Amino acid sequence: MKKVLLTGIGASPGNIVGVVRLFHSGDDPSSFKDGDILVTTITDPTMVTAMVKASAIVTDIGGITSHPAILSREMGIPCVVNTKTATKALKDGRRIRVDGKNGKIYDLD
Amino acid sequence: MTWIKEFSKSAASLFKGQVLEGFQPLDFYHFYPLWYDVWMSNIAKVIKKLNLATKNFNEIREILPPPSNMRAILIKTITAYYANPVVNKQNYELVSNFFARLLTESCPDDPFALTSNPLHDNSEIAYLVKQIEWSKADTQSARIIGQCITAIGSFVHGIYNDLVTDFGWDAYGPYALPSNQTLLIRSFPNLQPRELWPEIYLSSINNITIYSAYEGVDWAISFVGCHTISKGRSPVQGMKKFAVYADGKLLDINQISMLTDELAVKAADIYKIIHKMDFEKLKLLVLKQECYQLKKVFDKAGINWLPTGEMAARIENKPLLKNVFPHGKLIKTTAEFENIFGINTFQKEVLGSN
Repeated sequence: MKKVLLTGIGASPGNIVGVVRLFHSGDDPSSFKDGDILVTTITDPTMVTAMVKASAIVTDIGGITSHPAILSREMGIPCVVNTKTATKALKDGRRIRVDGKNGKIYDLD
Repeated sequence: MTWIKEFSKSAASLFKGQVLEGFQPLDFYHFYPLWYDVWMSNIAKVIKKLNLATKNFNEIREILPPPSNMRAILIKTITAYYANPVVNKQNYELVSNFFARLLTESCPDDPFALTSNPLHDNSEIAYLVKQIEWSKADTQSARIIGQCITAIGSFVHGIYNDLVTDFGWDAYGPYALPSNQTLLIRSFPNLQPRELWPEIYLSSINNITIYSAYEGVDWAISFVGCHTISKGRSPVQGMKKFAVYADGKLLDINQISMLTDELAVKAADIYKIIHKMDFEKLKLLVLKQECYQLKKVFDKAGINWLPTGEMAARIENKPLLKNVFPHGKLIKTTAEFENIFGINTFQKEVLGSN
């Protein structure tokens, strides 16, 4: 059984394994790789190009009606919001599993 | 009128599991009360001048914002009153009853979108479904549609912020189709607000409508139309057919991808400008965005839609209010929502009912 790293609100269902990519408002989206897991405080419209490449989204704040939650559901990718500390607890390159239904992030490293 | 309890059941769902910090780019709930009573007074003048209280939804629908936008105005009206109660309550009463009535007429089966946003009746849907030029969906095309909605939706968040979003984004349905499928209509009107942004930042298309039909996906629309909630299969797996129209013209999948790219870039460009704005300019922009959503109504009345000098003076060099609504608190129940956001106060003091 893998360790639960973080718990938040499951905002868009689905399970995905991928690599963490910390992303901040205004960061260059061209450096975001297809299939990475976007981890941020809260998404905003500067991140759209990265969001459409992401395999999952994890945020520190927000709820089921927040920007990342709504758009993850539209794209059919898992999303966990309101983890409170994802941007502090997760580092670039870490392998995690995102459980968007139950709002849990598992450590795979 | 007794609409407010039904309204609050739906509005609570907007805030359950949400914190105020999730709304960007400003702490709106501590901003609107600085000037909303003047805005209420201006709307009340227009309602009286056009005699709108006697007109039904269909008579004036061409000048009204989308239903979800009217719901959002209601929540702002209630919370602004709670944060800054005024002696003259009549304007709040007139305006809130006006929008509540229009919602009961426009979406009679679920006026405040507890689980749906049913703007169309059965005959309208039957007609629409026959007219739509469908394309068969597969996983790849469904993902492209999802990405397109993400780009347009984010662009709308840029041009209209997180609380006037529904002026540029509403979703209608879910509608059951005879084929055992469920239809959703995503409507993105008003994508060229030239009065708010320079031409270079605007969408090349003013109105985009996305029709999509699903199997095995349970959809709900919660309070406002951008809040589509799905259960069951992933929408990407469950989408069976789709059609995207831009200013009435059907787009093919390549054109949809191009539109996605265009609006993703413009969404980012606009939000970068917003991030660089100083606080005074940002407050003015949010004030203007709020007034813009009723521009057509004000135009019809021959009254300037722009914020008045009195509204601008209320915010100039003024800080936001503090500690009226809690930061960082997750609201879990409707009762908690009603207390924190002043539903009970509005019901008692403005609507005069218990």
